[in-house]
Amino acid sequence: MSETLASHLTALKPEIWLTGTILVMLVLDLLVGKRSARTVGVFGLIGIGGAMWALMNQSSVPVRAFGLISIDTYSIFFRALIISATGIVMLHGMVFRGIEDETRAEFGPMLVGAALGACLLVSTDNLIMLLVGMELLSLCSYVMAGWQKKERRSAEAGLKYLVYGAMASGLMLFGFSLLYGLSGSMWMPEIALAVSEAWSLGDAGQHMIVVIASTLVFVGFGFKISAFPFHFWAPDVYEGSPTPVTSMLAVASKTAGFGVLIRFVDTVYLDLTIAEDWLGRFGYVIAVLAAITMTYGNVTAVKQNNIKRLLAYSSIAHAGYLLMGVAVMTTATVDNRAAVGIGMESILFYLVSYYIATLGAFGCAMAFANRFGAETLEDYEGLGWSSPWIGACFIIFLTSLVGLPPAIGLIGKWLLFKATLSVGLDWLAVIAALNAAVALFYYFKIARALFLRGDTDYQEGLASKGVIPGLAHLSLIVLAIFTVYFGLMWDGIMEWVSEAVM
Amino acid sequence: MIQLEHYLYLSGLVFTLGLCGVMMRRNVILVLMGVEIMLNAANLALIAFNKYMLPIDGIVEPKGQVFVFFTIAVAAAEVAVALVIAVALFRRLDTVNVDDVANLRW
Amino acid sequence: MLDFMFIFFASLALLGGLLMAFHPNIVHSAFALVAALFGVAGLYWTLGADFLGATQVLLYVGGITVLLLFAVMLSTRDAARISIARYALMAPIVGLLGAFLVTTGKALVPIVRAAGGALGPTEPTTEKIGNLFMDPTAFMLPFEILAVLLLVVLVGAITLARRGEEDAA
Repeated sequence: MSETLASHLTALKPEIWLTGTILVMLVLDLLVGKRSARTVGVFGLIGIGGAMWALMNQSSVPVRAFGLISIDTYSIFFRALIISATGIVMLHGMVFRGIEDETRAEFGPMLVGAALGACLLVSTDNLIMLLVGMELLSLCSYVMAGWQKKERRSAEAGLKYLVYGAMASGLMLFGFSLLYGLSGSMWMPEIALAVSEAWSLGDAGQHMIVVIASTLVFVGFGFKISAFPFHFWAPDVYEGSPTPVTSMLAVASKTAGFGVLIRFVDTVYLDLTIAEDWLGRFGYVIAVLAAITMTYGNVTAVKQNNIKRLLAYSSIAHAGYLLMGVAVMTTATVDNRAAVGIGMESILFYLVSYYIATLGAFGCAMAFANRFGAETLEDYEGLGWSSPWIGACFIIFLTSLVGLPPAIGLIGKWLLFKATLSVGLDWLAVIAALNAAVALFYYFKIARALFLRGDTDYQEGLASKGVIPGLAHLSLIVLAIFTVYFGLMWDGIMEWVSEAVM
Repeated sequence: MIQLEHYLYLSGLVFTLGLCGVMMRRNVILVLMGVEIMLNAANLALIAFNKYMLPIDGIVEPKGQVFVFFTIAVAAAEVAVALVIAVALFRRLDTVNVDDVANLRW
Repeated sequence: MLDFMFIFFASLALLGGLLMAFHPNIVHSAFALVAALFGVAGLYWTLGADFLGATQVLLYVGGITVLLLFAVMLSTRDAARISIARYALMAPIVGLLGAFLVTTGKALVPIVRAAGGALGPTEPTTEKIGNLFMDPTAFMLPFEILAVLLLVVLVGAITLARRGEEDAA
């Protein structure tokens, strides 16, 4: 008994590191007292580093832990993205001026809690664990979104996120209960069996049940990835939340959402020879949603003046691009099964490029807010000349987001387009290409404000000296270097991605 | 004779009532109450399915009930967080009327 | 007897839900919610889920509704108006309901149900649920994660609820 328990626990080493980090941070916060924020943050970074180290040492042989978690290369890929993003967000959270010093020490445990939930969410194939992981991620995010309690916008963001999130999880839970009724199990492979049986042997009523249950479940996932028509919370919440929290929502939370969505689609709908007509129609719906999501995000972003809001709409648009990959996976016909793998690979690669560039872009927005209090395009005018390093990094991240050479974003878009064309969704590829042109326009607006507008004199902002702010700036520069480096040599990422898809 | 379908009809009706509350109310707290009703409808369906489940090897494990336990616990935490954020927000605003929260418009 | 209990608790749940969704007074809505949640707890008992019925009464009826009533008192009493424009939103909801009600009875029931149509004898489930929570191959992990969730979220909630120093002055 204890031996099996030990083997279960070894499989979950990164999660144990994260849990331990939460506990150590909470206890340290009490012990060190008033000026504890720095110490607690440093211990948090060490803990996240430990989790990352434990994750990298995990063998790629698939194991199951506690009967609910499957530790495979796929989950290692997603957990690596989530945990490293959490580390960078933690570092940024330590220097962000919007968070008051007296609540800074408690901010860390929230962040690590969200990361723990996200890690479990992407590794599980059981509905109960999925629910608990998703709620851990969501509840920590709600609290963090409302963290600047003296800012009306932040509290509103927290409340709005919570109300709509609770609604989405209520709908998702009803979908789960229908799936449980259909299959008598909480385990995705058994649900897959029941779903395909209900579809191939059942009458119209059973088809209806499958459709209703799938729709309700996808409301929950769609909310997490902010896909149309469940995107409406994103702009207000992204704008109102403290900037490090915004990058957590845009990167870690969205990555986790895609992680669980792809696993669900892959296990429940693709593993079995489910009836072709149903899957084809399903894939078509996702393709249409992807097109609407990216068009809506990009077109609305053009009118925005607040940088965080603009990036929020751009993040909705990127969810649309990523959904293109899901559409590829689901429209792959039986004689073209390879397209499933191609679609998945393109999503995962695009996620890496999105991850680096978005984390960096929000980091730069935070740096400008910290130093100059700049939030809108007018505030940004001429600031590029006052802090050229951050300005240059911002330009690189924007280049990657729009998909121009030499950044990694270009490779991501190219793979996605190729995958889309391989299953014959040509119209979707055309819409995506048109969207990229629109995106170029509003990303250029930021670049123009930074370097081509306003007075180019040096402005003395609130400079912050010290090791931690230095590290935070360094993290942006490192991310910018990654953007360009992987944009030129993407073989390493490609290898990692195709290993994760296996 | 009460059978599974009666529980399912009831669950569907209660779910719809909760959804009506969520969709038609402007007050955040009432929206949350609607969400609680929706969660309860889903829980009821889960327990009803669990009760009528075909036994495997002569036993039915109460997995549906375990699921409901988790939902109830999570819902409690959710409402606690909602209350805290709402109070923090109302403290910031001069008014206590949730309708004045601009960002919460649909 | 079970039939009578079902009808009683079901009407409690339905009436409570109806009043919750449409009553113009927010405090009355909150008490209607209490009634609906109690009705659902009773339905759990008719389904033999004794432990969950008790949990429902303790946590939902006793805890969550008190929190919600607290929030009601901190906010307002007259903001419960229903927005007429959203009646347009009702069409999809009613459509969903219709589709659901028509299909569940016919489609889902034959898949789920064992031979017998009526409720079988009930036995206590508390011990079984407890064993599932403590079984490493069953639901031990989510149970422990739930503990982490409650700890983290409550620390966060307390941090948010605490008045700052200049705030208290």
